[in-house]
Amino acid sequence: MKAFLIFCLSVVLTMDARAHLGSPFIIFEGKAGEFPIQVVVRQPEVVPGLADISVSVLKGLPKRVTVLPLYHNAKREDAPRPDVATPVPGSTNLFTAGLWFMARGAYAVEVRIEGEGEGRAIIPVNSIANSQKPMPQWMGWTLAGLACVLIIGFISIVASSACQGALAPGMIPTTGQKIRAWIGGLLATSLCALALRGGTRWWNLVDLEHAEKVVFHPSPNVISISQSNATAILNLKLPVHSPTRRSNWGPLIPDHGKLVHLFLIGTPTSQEEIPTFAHLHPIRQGEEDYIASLPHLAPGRYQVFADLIHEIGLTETITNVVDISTDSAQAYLPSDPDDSSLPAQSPAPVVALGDGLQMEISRNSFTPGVPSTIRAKIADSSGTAVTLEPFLRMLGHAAIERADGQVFVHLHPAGTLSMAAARHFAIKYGREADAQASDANCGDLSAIPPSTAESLVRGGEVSFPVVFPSSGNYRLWVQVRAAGAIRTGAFGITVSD
Amino acid sequence: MAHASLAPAPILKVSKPRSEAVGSEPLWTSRWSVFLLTFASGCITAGILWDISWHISIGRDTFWTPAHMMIYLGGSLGGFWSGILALDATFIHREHRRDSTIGIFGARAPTGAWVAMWGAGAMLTSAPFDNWWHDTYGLDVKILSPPHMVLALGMYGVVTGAVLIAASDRNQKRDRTNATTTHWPMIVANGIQVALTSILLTELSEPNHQHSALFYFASAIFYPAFLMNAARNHSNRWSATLVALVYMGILLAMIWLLPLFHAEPKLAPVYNRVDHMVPPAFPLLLVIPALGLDLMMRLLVNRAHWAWNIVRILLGGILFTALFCPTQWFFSEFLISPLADNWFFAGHGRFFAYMNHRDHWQEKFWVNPETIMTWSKLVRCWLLATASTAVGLGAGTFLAKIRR
Repeated sequence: MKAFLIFCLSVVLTMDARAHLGSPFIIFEGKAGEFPIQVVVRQPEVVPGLADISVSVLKGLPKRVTVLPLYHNAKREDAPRPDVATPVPGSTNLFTAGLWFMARGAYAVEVRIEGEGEGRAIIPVNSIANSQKPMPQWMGWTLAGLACVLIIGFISIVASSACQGALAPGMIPTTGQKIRAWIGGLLATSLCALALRGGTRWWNLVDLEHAEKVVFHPSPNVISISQSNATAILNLKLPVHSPTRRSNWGPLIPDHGKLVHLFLIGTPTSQEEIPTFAHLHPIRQGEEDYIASLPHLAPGRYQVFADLIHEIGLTETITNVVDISTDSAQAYLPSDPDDSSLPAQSPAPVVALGDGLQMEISRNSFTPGVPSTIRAKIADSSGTAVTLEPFLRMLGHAAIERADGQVFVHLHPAGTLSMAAARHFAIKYGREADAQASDANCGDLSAIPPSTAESLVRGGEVSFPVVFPSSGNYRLWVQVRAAGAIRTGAFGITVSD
Repeated sequence: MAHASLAPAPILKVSKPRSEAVGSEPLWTSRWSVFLLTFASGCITAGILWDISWHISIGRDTFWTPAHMMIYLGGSLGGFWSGILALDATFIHREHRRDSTIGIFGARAPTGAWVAMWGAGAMLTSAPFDNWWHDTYGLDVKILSPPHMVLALGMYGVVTGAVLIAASDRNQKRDRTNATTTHWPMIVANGIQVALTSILLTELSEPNHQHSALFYFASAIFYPAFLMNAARNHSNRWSATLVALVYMGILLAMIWLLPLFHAEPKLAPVYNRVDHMVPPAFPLLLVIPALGLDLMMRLLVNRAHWAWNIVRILLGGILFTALFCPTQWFFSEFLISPLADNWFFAGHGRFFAYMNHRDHWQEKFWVNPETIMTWSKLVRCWLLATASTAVGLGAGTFLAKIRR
């Protein structure tokens, strides 16, 4: 066998990518001191932009809720006075606020609850421009109409004033003055043409600069698959020096112990089918290279989503596609013990996880833009709740993909925020001891009291707060560790208005 | 008066009398028009300075901030009053106003009113454009952007409307009474024009930019035109100087008044924790080149031949470049030094926004290799100033003649 046999090589293909692809929402469910809270941040799509924040205090009577933006490149002293969130009329526990993110990079939103006691929670969010919105047609026509009125008005004023402006009382324009009107009109027309041309060039330059320098470009990546000793290897290259990667982002930091969380999602053969899924954790090999053993996967084209956390607290999801031409992994030896995969499935209300275990999710109705919770119950064949084991330090993980591949969200029991980014900000804007509290708040079982962790794992249930960004058919993969193995349940979800 | 040889007499000679000529316009209309449009222009200029200070001191604003209200007041007052003048001249006193108005598509209004209405329209147009711009490219924290330029053109429209109304009013009175009339409304309106221009050029004109060629190019393009226009169209011997003083007075008033008010930055990050409204930078010493232009115009007052205008233009360009460039070059060195770190000069980074680090940047000139000032760039500066002077002379000649 050749040492390295290249089966296929994907081209560098950087689709629209951002942290939590296609969704502007960050949701967090955890604690601020003794107050259990749920926070939803709708991240702005431009910078500077306004983030909408809603804070729901799930228990207790809050008297005052404040939100404070903390920028990655600033100290706590550089923050303004916190904003007081406004209670939603008719509600005693729901508060809203708007926060401006003025600079590009990562922000932490510090939510502070005051009532009987006091507590705070830090939610890391990105401050990046996601896309360039085209001008709506009606707006284009309106502005064009107004511009025409202004141009015609300008030319008319110049021509008329050139002809009549200096006329003394009782005088009527001579032929010379009428000619002057024409000259004035021509000059004004030329000026307008020049202004339009200059304005268009200027606008195009702004547009180009925005597209190149302001709109967030995901880290470039190259993915290829090679084979070593009958084991297929996925090679991920993340060039450190590239025009789109900012040097001040810092190196990658591990999120619940892994530098890269990489998901492979296959191409379904029918609309109903839930495609093949793999969740891998490539291991760094040098400055730019990451490798992972490829599990048994059916041949075909796979979408690749990989979550990265930069040192400044910025999270991003890079995307790519890779073609797997044959079932290459004759001998699969996981490069990371937490790697897992699941072949394509037909949707079912209760899915078998192997070894007599089964998983069922709550069939809530899901509405776009509205926070909801996905609950997964894991039981044995008799219906008894199974004791879960920590998987990547948490009760479980989930991934959601909209059927068209334009939305991808990696979920944790605490929501969609990154534990590593939250920890980074907790240390930066608090004390070292705050790191453990942050981890606990993000659902890290090793950071909470053992007795609490024990009761959680015995429940055989894991829940994920989520906000779907849009309606449509979604696929959901829920992953837990039970009976010594990683178990993945695949489901279909419909989100409707 | 002083330069009678440049007075607008020829128009009377070449124009044909209209048989149905009617009497002169009531004075109250002109006075109110001049006052209200100048007041509207003042509101716009002070409002913009206040708004910029708001953005660099507090950051967060709404549609209803006092500074925005002042700008809306200026724009709407200019537009509405001009509209009233147009309605009056078109429908109510058409014949009576015929001699003081110009006709466009059948409607009549004084030239200044047309220009102010156009300005108010442009200001209105900029609103949805700017809103869309913010949604698409983010809230722009800079002055120079395409929608802001549309807004600026609108503001210029209202301010220029005030200048034209004041000029035609002055010229009509001069015709009627053949006596010296007050030039102050025009001088104030011209001063407001210069102040508005300086606001637009803020991002190129801060003291730390004043060793950059871009600053001198931008200044040479705009200021000679306004100063020469003033020097040409007024009968007052020191009109350019007075216009420059009005401009400086507006800026100085804001520099000294704004910091008296408490302010607190409300957006993160805050790298410069200010506790008061941040003032604009100290105004340019335009009074120096203005004085030179006034003296030149005084020396050449009786030279009426058209060729002397070329001399005026060439000399004007030289005088502006020779007086303005060294003045600002050395004065800016003082302004960025700790010596200017006081309420009077508001230098040494006192005009820095809340989001700017004040550390060593405040004592440095922000020049890069492309914008470094050289002798060849100084020559380009002179060429630009000469062209600007020519425009100013032409505009001044028109303003000296306008009657409608």
